[in-house]
Amino acid sequence: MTYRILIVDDEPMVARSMQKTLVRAGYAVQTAPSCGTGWAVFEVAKPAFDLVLLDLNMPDFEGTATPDAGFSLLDKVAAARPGLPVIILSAYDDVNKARQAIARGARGFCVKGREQSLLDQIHAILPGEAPQ
Amino acid sequence: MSQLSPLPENLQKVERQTRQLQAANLVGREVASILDLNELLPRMVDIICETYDFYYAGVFLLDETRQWAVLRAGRGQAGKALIAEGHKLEVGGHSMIGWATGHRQARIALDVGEEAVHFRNPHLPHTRSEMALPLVAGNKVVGALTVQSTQERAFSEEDILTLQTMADHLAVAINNAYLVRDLERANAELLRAKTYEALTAATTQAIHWIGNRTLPMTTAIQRLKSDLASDRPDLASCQEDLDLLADSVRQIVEVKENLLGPVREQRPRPAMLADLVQAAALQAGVPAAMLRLEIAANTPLVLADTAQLVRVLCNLFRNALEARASQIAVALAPAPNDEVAIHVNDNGEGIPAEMCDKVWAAFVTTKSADHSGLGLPAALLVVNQLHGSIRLTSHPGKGTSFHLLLPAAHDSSKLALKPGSAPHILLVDDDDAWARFASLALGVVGCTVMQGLEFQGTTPDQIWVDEALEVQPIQEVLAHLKAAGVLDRTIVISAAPQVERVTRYLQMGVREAALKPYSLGELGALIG
Repeated sequence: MTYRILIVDDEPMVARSMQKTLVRAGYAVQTAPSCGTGWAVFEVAKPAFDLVLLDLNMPDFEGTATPDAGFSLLDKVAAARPGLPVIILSAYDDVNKARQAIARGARGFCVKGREQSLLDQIHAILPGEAPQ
Repeated sequence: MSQLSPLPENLQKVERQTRQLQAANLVGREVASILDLNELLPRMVDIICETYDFYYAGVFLLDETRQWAVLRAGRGQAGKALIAEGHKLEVGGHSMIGWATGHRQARIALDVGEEAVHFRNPHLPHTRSEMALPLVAGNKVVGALTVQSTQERAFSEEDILTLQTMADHLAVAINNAYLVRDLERANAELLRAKTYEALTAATTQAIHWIGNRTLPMTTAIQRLKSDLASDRPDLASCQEDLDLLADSVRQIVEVKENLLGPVREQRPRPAMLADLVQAAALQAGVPAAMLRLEIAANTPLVLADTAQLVRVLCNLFRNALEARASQIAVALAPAPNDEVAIHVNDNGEGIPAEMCDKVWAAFVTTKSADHSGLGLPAALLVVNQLHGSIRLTSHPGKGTSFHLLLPAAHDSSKLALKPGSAPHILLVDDDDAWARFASLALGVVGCTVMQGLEFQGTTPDQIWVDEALEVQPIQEVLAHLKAAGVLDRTIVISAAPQVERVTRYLQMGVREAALKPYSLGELGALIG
């Protein structure tokens, strides 16, 4: 069984770079560039995703770039799939946002540029041998 | 036989002379103490009119063209109206003020009806006598004083003498005010020039620095592509190129960390400096034996964004460690102007004299090229934002001292609990000033406070754990509390919360990871 991960980030290079890293680690990865597209991909995915990586500052559901748009998507994902691991991956080193994310159901909060532990966190959340 | 008369007239004269002397003294004091002409000039016209019982007095100052004398202060409604109209008289023109400023001499009209150069002012219809005195400082006319009376021949010789003396004092005061203004302008211009120079230097340095980081990256990437396309890639070279990329990225991230750092707290708040010093020492990895902290009596709280101030102190401590200091002495004391002084002294290598001014500029470093040179500029930025100041003194081979001044804070908040709620709190902290402050304050409002890690009998309602604990690593403390089944009552408090640590504590199951409270109001808010 291969674990499936969805990355929602409007920066193509960030999304592609994380995708490469996670694919090399044995995960199946899809990306989406905005809240709207991310939700559409999430809803129809079969099989469903096992983990979601969300940026915060990206186009919201109306397509407007908004600093905390990712929280809206987090809320929808958490409501649709309670308990699904979601990790926020943000450029902003903001303790208040980290608190907000956890309070809204995220499993973790990583700061871009210091995301080296992210893979370990994902391995801890999606345990088992390296999926094929 | 009237040897004793005219006593009443003499008495009046003596009284008048006394008033004039007093007025002259008062003028002397005012001009020495008031540099703001907007305050001084109206005060002068009031003193003159009240002393001499004149109808009107006014002060004109020459404008920057020196062609016009512009009214800057005038007594009563007439004065207000004239100033509002922008009343001015031409130097050397057809008016008493014009004549006085053009000739640098007093002009006196004991009967304005007969005065050739009298300017008939519609706002002052009752003037019968007028005197215009030039205000001369050194060899420069700076303006003129006009005094007007409703009486003909209102000015005695003594009046003229004393008024001229007052005018001379006033001229000196005006000249001094101009000198101060010119000095401030020159200072501002110098500051602008230096700022521009510094910005240009910083931009040049930034371009230089970024260029030196990106070149290894682009060339390494080219080599890696070439190696991948080759049948026999040079693996050692690939490894080296990857190390180059990793190192460049690390330095770029360091720039971002220093330029932006953690997002600022909403607003500066009262904070306990000694506590911030400890938090910074822990973050910077300063061994406890290396740090000496002295706190003068009555050192007040500071007004600060605590996360940012801990960053500043951390940068200074790291500088000391990198300069191979074996000791860091921090002294805190009250300072004049309601400020707090912080001195951070190390016995490291010191900074060369020619670098002492430059180290505040971005990308300038006395260390090796892999340092970003942003620690001190970031510290300067934060301290300026806190309305403080920072400077350094250094002696190569002996050490460096940083001297900071920050605004003091005075906590006027109150610790108010909800009725009926006086929780039992377990405080897990070193025996430091903050723990004593919190215990005392909470005890006063009826909370039961125990210190330590163990609790007997009643389970505490809340457990507050200081993140900067010296006696035991916080991870061990939290593990212990988790095993005791009380992690959900635990609040980790920190002077400088950090995203990764806060996330970790919350993931472990603590109730909250909060900003450390330094005021009574914040203590109450934490209790909830």
